[in-house]
Parts: sequence; structure tokens; C-alpha cells
Amino acid sequence: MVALKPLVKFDARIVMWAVIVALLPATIVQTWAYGLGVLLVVVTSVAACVAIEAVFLLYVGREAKAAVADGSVWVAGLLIALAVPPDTGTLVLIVAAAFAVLVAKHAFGGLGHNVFNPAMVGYAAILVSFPLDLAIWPTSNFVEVSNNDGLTGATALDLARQGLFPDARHEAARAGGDTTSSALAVAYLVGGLALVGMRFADWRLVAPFLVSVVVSAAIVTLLKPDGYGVWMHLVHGTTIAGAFFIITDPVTAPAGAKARAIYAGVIGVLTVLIREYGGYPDGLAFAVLLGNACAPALERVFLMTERRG
Amino acid sequence: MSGLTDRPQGQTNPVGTASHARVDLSDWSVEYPDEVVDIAVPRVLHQRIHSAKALTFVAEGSSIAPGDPIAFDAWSGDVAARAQGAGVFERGMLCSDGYLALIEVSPAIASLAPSDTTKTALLESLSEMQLMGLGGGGFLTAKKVKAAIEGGAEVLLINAVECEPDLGADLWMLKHELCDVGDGISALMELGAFDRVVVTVCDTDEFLDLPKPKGGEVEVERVVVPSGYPGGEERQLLREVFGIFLAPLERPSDHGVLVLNIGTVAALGAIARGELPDSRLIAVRGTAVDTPRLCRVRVGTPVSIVLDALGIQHEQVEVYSGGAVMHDRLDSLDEPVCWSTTGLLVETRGTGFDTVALQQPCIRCDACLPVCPEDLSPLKLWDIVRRGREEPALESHWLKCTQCRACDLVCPSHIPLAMAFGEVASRILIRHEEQQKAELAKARFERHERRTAKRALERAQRVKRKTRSVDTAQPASRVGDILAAARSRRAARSSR
Repeated sequence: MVALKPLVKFDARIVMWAVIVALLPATIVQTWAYGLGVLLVVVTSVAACVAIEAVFLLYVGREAKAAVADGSVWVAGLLIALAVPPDTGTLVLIVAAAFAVLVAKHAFGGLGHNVFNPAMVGYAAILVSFPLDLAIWPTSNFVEVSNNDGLTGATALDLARQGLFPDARHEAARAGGDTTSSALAVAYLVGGLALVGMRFADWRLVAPFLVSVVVSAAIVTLLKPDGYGVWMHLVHGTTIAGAFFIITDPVTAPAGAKARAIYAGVIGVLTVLIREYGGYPDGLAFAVLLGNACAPALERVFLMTERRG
Repeated sequence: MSGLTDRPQGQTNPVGTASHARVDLSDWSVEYPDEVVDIAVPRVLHQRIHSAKALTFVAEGSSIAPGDPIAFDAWSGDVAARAQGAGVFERGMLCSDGYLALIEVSPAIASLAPSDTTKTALLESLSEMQLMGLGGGGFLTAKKVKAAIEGGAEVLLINAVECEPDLGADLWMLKHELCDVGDGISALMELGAFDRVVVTVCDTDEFLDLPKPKGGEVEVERVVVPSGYPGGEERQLLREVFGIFLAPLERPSDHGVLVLNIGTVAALGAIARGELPDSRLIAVRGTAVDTPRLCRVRVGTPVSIVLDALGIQHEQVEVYSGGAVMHDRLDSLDEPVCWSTTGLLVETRGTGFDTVALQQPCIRCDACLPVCPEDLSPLKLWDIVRRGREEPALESHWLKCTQCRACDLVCPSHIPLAMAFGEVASRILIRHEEQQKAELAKARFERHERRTAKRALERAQRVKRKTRSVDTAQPASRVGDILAAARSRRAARSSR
């Protein structure tokens, strides 16, 4: 047998670059909202990830060019950069990159063999190590539009959770009035839908996750009326970004439609539970890591080597 | 088995639904003009003999008829190959994966056809001609038909679905050779007790006529299967038409079904009419071919002659035998067209057809899951291959893989999955063969041990009986006395 003409729906070599392109709208919106510091963090984070990857591969005597060119570490670096405040220190970003590349990726055998999402491992590592650096976001340039204090993202959730939000702001956020969060959510949605449309992201992960977040948020709201509310769960924080860019990582998700639906559903429920009852305001990173841990078991249960009977 | 014939019969059977997502290869489909290029020019037939053993051939210049032995195992002298054509044996030579036998066709002998068309004679003609299935699988038709008839097959399934998107012989047969196919069905009905005749067609060919056997004793049913790759694979057809899941290495005849390609049935029809089928339709297309053509080529014709007939220059082309997905590169243009040659893919050198895409790590996108016609999980099997942990419990899964390459087609990481699974399956088969040999040797050794033990026991019993008889005859005497008496008797005899 000889080689086949390419007939693949997508090529593994371009999928990561497609993700980077799809993240551009969110990067632009975040830069617009928080200034050029965002771009600086993006460059630092991506450079740190690429450099660590290259140095590690050269150290172990492997081909570095192809691994760097596959774009996976670029995506990890970009996702970490978009998850942290624009004034995050370089050292913090290097620690995140080191955890993402060395611990999450290469300790498990490199691309295709990692159990945990590298970007989320890097982010979770600095979230627990440098909580103060990641808690404070600068004022958004959208302040005059949204007429609030400009705090957004996880911090908005954090304040709402701690009851520090002025009631009016809380209510406005619950009703979708926080323009920064909404604009970011729309930016992620646009890029994400493009990825799904081009089949670079699996809708079988996106849809169950969003449904799960909405349903579990609705149930929790019934049990806890002073909680975030369904809309805030959906639009604020990293829900939309996570739905399209984080849980859709095929390597760390289980294979098979059933397993994927349950996996995404579990992450959705965990995200809401951690936000409402856990120790962190936005639980997506931890929910994804817990979901990653469950993925092999889900695959074992729902996907046999022979699927019939 | 009876369940197959219990199903409601009708002109169109609604059972034909896909059990998995077929790969859409409509972009690769090729339209062929109805006019067939007849290439019956060669005076020298090339017969390919796949053999890893050393062969000897009949003497050069010997006259041979179809079915005459032409090659022998150099060590054992067993017949290794029989002639597929008639003529004068020219010479045998080594080629890429075995040998080539060159037979110069003499027109007088070439027209030799079976005159006796009785049941036994028909089967004998089939065996002698070494007619192989025209679908591309390369199984001997005589063997297949005999096994099915002896096994009491009740259903005849005629496969008119091309597996590959760019082949067109089956469709052409459906359009133009229904008469031959009808004769073939009649002949098969006489050979076996078939209660049901089913023709599977692709959904794009749904509205074509069906063949009609002469007697009209059985109504031919049509089952429409969805287009896409792999279309006409026999295990898959059995599942989709009858709901039969074949176990690894199991044949349709084990379930009472004889599956034959429509071209093979037409060839059988010709034999039944007393003709000698010596040619088959092949599809010739590729970047080096201006107009894709269907050609009727005599089996044994070297590929170079086919290219000459179509005006294709030899120098700048690479030729592959098969379809767009399953094909083998021909090392030499002297390779012959065989019964199993479904098509020739003629590609201009340097167009990158055989460029191997860079293999990437599996990103577990699970695109390979829905397209596997055997419901396997290629990504899990690949993970096992990669780790080198082939569990004995999963042996049946490797053997089930038909290596259709559907998973290869959709893999974004360009992993040669089918090839990897095929290698594992080969290893398993070799291991099974060795195990069988070891078990035979063990059984032989155990039989030998039992025989030896039995003989020893019998000998011991004989000695015991003798001793007892001596003891009972002279109970009081001692053995030493007896021996002394015997010695003295012998001494007396010798002195005499």
C-alpha cells in the first residue's frame, strides 16, 4: 500500500494554528478592554512556552523544530495569557509555561499523550501559587459603557461571590449588563463557532458542556437564590472560552460520542459547583482538570476496542 | 441459516441501510464513457505466480491448455501453478513478488472452450481455468462456489457495488451485460439450491434493471446500499443486507450465503454457454490518462500493452494496480493484468501521488471511530500498537480489521493505521500457525509416549506371565536351578 491522497477533514498540523486564529477576536477585545499590557503578556507567555519546549526537546535530543511548529505550545501560551490579568509578572508566566510544557505535556510523553490540559495545568499552578497576582484586574476601558467599576472576569464572579458587588451592579451583571464580559464572551463565541463550523472543535463537547452549565446553574439558583444566576454562569468568567477552546482539546477528552457528552457534562456541573460552593470564584480550570482525570475511566466504560456488544 | 430465506422477499429490499458512516469519496469518483476499449492484442500472456519458494517450469516450447500445470515446487515437485491461458510455454522468470510465466498464445488453442456444460464439468472447468473473483479479492471462484454448494448455501448475493469510488466495471456490467449475468445466475441455480438471489447496488445505480435468469424460477431482489467508502466489502454487505456479523476468518458460506462479484457471475454465464472467458474489464485512469477508459483486457496481458493501446508514454508514469484507496505500485510494466486487477491508476511522475504525508501523533480526535465498518476503535487499537502491548484477549479485533483504510482516510495525523493493524494481524496468524504446529507436534509426541508406555507395559506383562508360568510349573525349584538346567540342556544340544 502506498500513501493516500489527503482526504482528512482537517490536518493535525493546522488545527492548532486554526485555534490561534480563532482566539484572535478575544485577544483583540481583551487588548481593547485592558490595554497593550495584554499583548505583552501574550508575547511573554507564548515565548516562554515555545522556549521551554525547544530547550527541553534539544536537551533530550529530539527534533525541536517540528514540535514547536505544530502550534500546541503556542495555543497553551495564548490560553494562559488570556486567562491572567494584563499586569501579571514575567516570572509568574514562566512558572505557568514550565508547568504547562514540562509537567502537563512532556512528563506524560508529549503531544497526544498528555492526560491533563497543559494550559489549564499551567493556569491552575499559578492560581494556587500566586493567587494575589491573578486576583486583581485593572479597570476596563469599557467602564463608561457599562457604568461599573470595570472589574470583570473571575474577579467579577469573585466579588459577586463575596457579596462585595454593589447590588445594582450584581443585578446588572446577572441580567447581562457587564459589557466587558459580554464582549469577551461574544469574541470567544465568534471564534469558537468558526472552529466548530470548520470541524476543528467538536460540537459533541461544546453543546453538552453549555447545556450542563445552564441546567446545573438553574438548579443551583433554585437552591441558592443569592448565587450568580444562570446568565452570569454562562457569560461571565471563562464559560464560553472553556466551551470552545479548552474542553474541546481532543487529546485530553475521551473518545466516543457518549463518553464525550458525559465528560463535557461533568465539567459543566463541576464548574458551577466550584463557583457556587468551592473555594475559587471561577472553577473552570479545576473542573477541566478533574474532568481530564475522569476521561480515561469514561473512555474505558463507554468505548470498548470493539464497539459492538 | 433458514432465517435468511424467511425474510420477506420483494423487488426492493429495504434492509440495505448503512451500519456506520461511510467515507464520502464522491470527489474521487470517475465517469467512464460507455464505449469499452477492447485490448485483446497480446500474443504473449504473462501469468503472475506469487511464491516465496523456488519454482521449476515445464519445458520451453511445451503446448499447454488452461489448467495444465506449468510451475512446480523445486523441492517437493508439487504443482505450484496451472496455466490460465492456452498456448506454447515460452519461459518462466523471477519478478517482484514471485515469478512470471510467459505463454505464447496460439489462436487455435486459445479458442478451446469447455464443450460439456453439465454441473460437474462446469465446476471442473472453473477449477481448471483458475478463475478468480473479479471483485479484486483474488479468491479462487471454483473453491468459493464449491464450498458454498457443499455447505448448502441458500442465498446467492451478487455484488454490484464498487468498493472504490473511481472504478466503474460493476456499473458497466449492470448497464450492458445483464444477459451474461442472467446466464451466470441460471448456471449457479443449477449448481446449488439457492432459494434467494439478491443483487446489491449502490444508491446511485438504484434505477438500473436487474438481471433475469432464464428459467425465471427465482425472482432476483435488489438491495440498495448507500454510496461511500467502503461500499462493496463483503463482510459489510452481509451485515447490512442480512444482519449477519461474521467472526474473524469466517466466510459468508459459513452462514449459507455465496457472495460473488457481478463480473464473476457474468464470466460463469459465459462458461455455462460453452465460451471461454479470458478477459476482464479494468478501469484505466489517473493524471497521465486524458480520458478515463474502461478496457476489456485479456488476463495475462502485460500492463505495458494496455498503456500502449491507450497511447500513454511509459517513461513518465507510475502505475498502480487497484482503486484510489487500495492500490499497489507495480514495479514493472511487464506485470500482467490478472483476474483480480480491477483497475490501473496511471500517475505522472512527480505529481506527488506517492508522497507520504508527515505522520503526527494521534490527537484522539476520534474521527476514525464512526467510519470503521467493523465497529472497531482504531484509536484504541493504535494506542495498543504504539505501546507494544498486544493483549491476547483482543486478537479477534485485529483479525476483524479488513484493512479497508477508511480510518487512514480520515486520520488528520496521517497515521498508517490499517497497515499497522495488518502487521499485528499477520503476527497473530503466524503465531496461530506456529501454535497449531506445536500442538500437532505435542499430540504426536504424546501418542508416541503412549505407544512406548503401552509397549513397555505389554512387555512387562509378558515377562510377568512367563515368570509366573515358570513358577507354577516348578514351584519348588529356584531360579538358579532352572537356569543351570537350561544351560546344561543347551550345552548338550551344542555338543550333539
